[in-house]
Amino acid sequence: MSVLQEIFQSSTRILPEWVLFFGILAACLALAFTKEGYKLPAYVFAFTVILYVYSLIISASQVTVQGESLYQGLLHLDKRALLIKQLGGIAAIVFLVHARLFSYKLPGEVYVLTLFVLFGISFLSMTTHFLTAYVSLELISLASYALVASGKMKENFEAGIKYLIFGATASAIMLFGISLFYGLSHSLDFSSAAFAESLARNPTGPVQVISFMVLGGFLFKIAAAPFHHWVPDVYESTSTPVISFLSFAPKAAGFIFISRMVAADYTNLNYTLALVIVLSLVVGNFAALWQNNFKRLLGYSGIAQSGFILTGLITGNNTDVYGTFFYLVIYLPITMGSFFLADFIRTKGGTLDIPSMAGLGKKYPLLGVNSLVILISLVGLPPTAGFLAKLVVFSSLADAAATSSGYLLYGLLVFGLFNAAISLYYYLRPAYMMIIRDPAAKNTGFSYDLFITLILSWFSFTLIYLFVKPDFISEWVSGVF
Amino acid sequence: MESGILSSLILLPLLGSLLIVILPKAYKVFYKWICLITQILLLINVTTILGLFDRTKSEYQFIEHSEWFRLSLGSKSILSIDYILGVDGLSISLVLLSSIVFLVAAVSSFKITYREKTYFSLFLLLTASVFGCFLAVDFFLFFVFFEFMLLPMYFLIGIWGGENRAFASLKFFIYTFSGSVLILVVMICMVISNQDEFFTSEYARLVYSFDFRTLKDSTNLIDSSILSIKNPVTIFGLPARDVMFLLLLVGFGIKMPVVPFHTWLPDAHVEAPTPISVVLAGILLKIGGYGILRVAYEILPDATVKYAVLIGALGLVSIIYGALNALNQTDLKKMIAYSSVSHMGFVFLGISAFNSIGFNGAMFQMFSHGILSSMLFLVAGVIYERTHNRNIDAFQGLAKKMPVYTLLVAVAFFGSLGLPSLSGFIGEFLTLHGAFQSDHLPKLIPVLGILGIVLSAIYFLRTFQRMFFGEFHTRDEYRMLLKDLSKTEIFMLGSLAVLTILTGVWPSLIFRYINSGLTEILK
Repeated sequence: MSVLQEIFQSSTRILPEWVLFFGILAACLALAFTKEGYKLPAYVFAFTVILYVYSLIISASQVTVQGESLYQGLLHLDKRALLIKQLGGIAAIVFLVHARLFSYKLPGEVYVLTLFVLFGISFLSMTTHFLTAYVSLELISLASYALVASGKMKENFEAGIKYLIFGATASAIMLFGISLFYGLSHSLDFSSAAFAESLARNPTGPVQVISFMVLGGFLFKIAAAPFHHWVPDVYESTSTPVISFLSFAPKAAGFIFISRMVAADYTNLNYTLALVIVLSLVVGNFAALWQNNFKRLLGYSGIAQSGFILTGLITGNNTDVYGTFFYLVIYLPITMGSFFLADFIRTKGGTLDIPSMAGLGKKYPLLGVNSLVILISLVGLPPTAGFLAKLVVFSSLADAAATSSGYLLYGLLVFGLFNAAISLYYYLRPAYMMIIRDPAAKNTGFSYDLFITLILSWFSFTLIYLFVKPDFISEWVSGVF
Repeated sequence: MESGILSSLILLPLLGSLLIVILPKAYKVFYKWICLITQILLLINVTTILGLFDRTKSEYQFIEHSEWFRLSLGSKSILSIDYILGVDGLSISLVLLSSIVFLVAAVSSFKITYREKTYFSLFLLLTASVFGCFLAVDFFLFFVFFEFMLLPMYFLIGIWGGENRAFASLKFFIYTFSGSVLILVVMICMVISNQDEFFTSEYARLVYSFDFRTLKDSTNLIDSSILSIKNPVTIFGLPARDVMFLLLLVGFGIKMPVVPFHTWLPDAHVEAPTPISVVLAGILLKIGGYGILRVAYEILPDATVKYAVLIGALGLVSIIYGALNALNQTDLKKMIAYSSVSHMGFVFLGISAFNSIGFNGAMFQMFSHGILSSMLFLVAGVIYERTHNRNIDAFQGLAKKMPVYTLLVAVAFFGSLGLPSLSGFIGEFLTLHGAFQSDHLPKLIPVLGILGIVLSAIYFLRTFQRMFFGEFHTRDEYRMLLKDLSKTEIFMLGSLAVLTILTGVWPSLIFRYINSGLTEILK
């Protein structure tokens, strides 16, 4: 097969990306030819995302677990990529529903940029090639910078600049790492045998350091320490539906790429990851202890959660990176639900200060119960799906610990779970305020909305239902391995 | 034979709780009745189980087994989680105890008048999770109930507690949650070290089972795993099995609580409302002891025997330290809380003996302490509800003013300090007797343990003397408030007093149920 033929052949296999591509074009046109405030871009967005998810479903049967190489190795389409794309699609739908329910008047550009992010996620999720990875990562990043800075407040601009500077630094470090890898192996496809062979001839120390540098760009995307400095400001000032989407979808794509690097097995990344996990847990949990703003708290909690999700990537003989994917599926309702809750409290009560939530759950029991369920699934207490997610990732960590020499991984097991106990304190604070404390006098302005509370119940119901009957996700996720 | 009777112990309170949630606030007088009727039905079911229980068998009875779910850990292994309930000699006395204590606490809850709906639904949720914890035969199920218990308890203390309730409930939650995190670590390590051979061949993948019976059987251990006996793994110089045992000891020790992990207990008790104190002291503390026996003794017997002296010493420290603290308290509830620490120390002393007498004594002590501490907290509640003062020095000569109360307090106090013919004596005597006969303990430990009995006699008698003897003397505003017991109070304290005397005179009422199960552990 000639190269040209292969390119044409490959192009027929990426139907969902074509859908997104034409959706983006249509949205840009809609943006250019409609007046400000017109809803057409939002409709185009909705139509595109639904079509995207539909195309993922119909192309699912052609995708195999081992996957196939497209464009001469630039892309690698397999079931795992499909899973992440499905999650991204679902997250985009939740984003849209969220924005509509709270009647956000988002400018049309936001929808176009979100489609760009999705486009980048789509490609990043199916690559084992550094070049594609870099391009799609930058696609996600650039669109995210613009999304963060798109608000009219000064804080948005500040957060955007902060995000941009840290992002650019992380990318630079990553590019440096990639160039070093290229110098060592003359290959950009890290899943190829040649790559692993040539690296095996080099001492492990430098290879680990370079791996860490390359991981940097993705650690930045998943908000793991030490690449986390942008998180609190960006989370606090960006409009809630947007950050709800950004807190999940790009993270998922970052995780699948890291999991591919781990699975490529050119060197043992367990210890590098363990370091990142410890840092993320410490930074996320300890900083969150002092937060008074609920969205900032969720930002720090996101850092800690990344630490937990990364734990699933440390694997032993009898486990593989399954835990991470399982956690990610459960993380979708957890994180997007908690942002939904945050937005509910902000739009109806006017503030996100945790003390100002006092008495809300007492006055509106349904809201109180729903918040409690979402918060305890962040902690990982039964009976919520958050507990199963933690159980699975820590089981695979324990398996890895049993096969490794040294005590580092056992230490991580105990340390990681202890961090869950620390996180209990700050996750319980909003619940304590809402359910136990009496309402403050100034808090009477809260306008309750039963309909939105019922939508919120959908998140909390999902979390409990998935605990009782996790077979559905278990089969969905184990289908990709 | 699947009768579903064990599931009913979990489902009934859940349904009751749901009913309370659904019932509109206009019917709020019914909430407490729903709660009470549920507890009565539970007691009837428990009595039925006692009647049908085969005392000669040592394995689980009334087993209910259904598949719950399978979680794969990737392409090579599966976690298999089942819904298995069963009751054996170890758990049956505690199931009975829970049922009695919850019934009494439900009666005592009639005085709650603030946010009744939330209170009674949480109370029933707590009931369900406690029964679930004692009945679970699957480690996962056990752990889920064990953790879930914390949530209703947190809110019950946090909403209906005293002045400092926010601090106390959070401290309780974080302490016990840290404990359960350690148990989670052990659970994960245990589970991935044992394979279920039958299902492993059926699924052609490694199947990790959470079933206690599978975990107990050392032939299921995977050779290369951490808990392997053949190829011992060491962690920081200690064998992995020992490390797991120590983690369990701390985890359940916090729950129990054993010194030095006990500091949450006085705070929680002082702040909690009376019925919740009763449940906390009467049942929740027992889960710590039950957990050690169920998990550490059954699954890691070899590691446990090695640390007999440590367990005994911890028990001893708790006995002495708790008693010394109790001596120094002026707050009646705080004194009782520290006496709980001291009395739970005897449980540790008993189980560290590794002989039949010690084990039976420890189980009996758990039962007896459940009854007695419930009584003690009700006693403290009686004074507090009348005067909103729990200070021992604020009252004098109550005997003349409240004769019935004095009689029942005497039973509770003398029972606790170990007067023969009351239940406390049997437990303390047998645990000490077992410890003296033990091959694993130095004689010094039980010798010093006797000191604990002397100390508890001092603080109980002194309190009794100060509060009840002499001329009636208290602040003027209390004179009108201090009336003798109402009928409900007589019912609650009286029925517990009858149980104390009954089991004190006729201890085999309990022993004949627990003996076979404990003998099994000893093997």
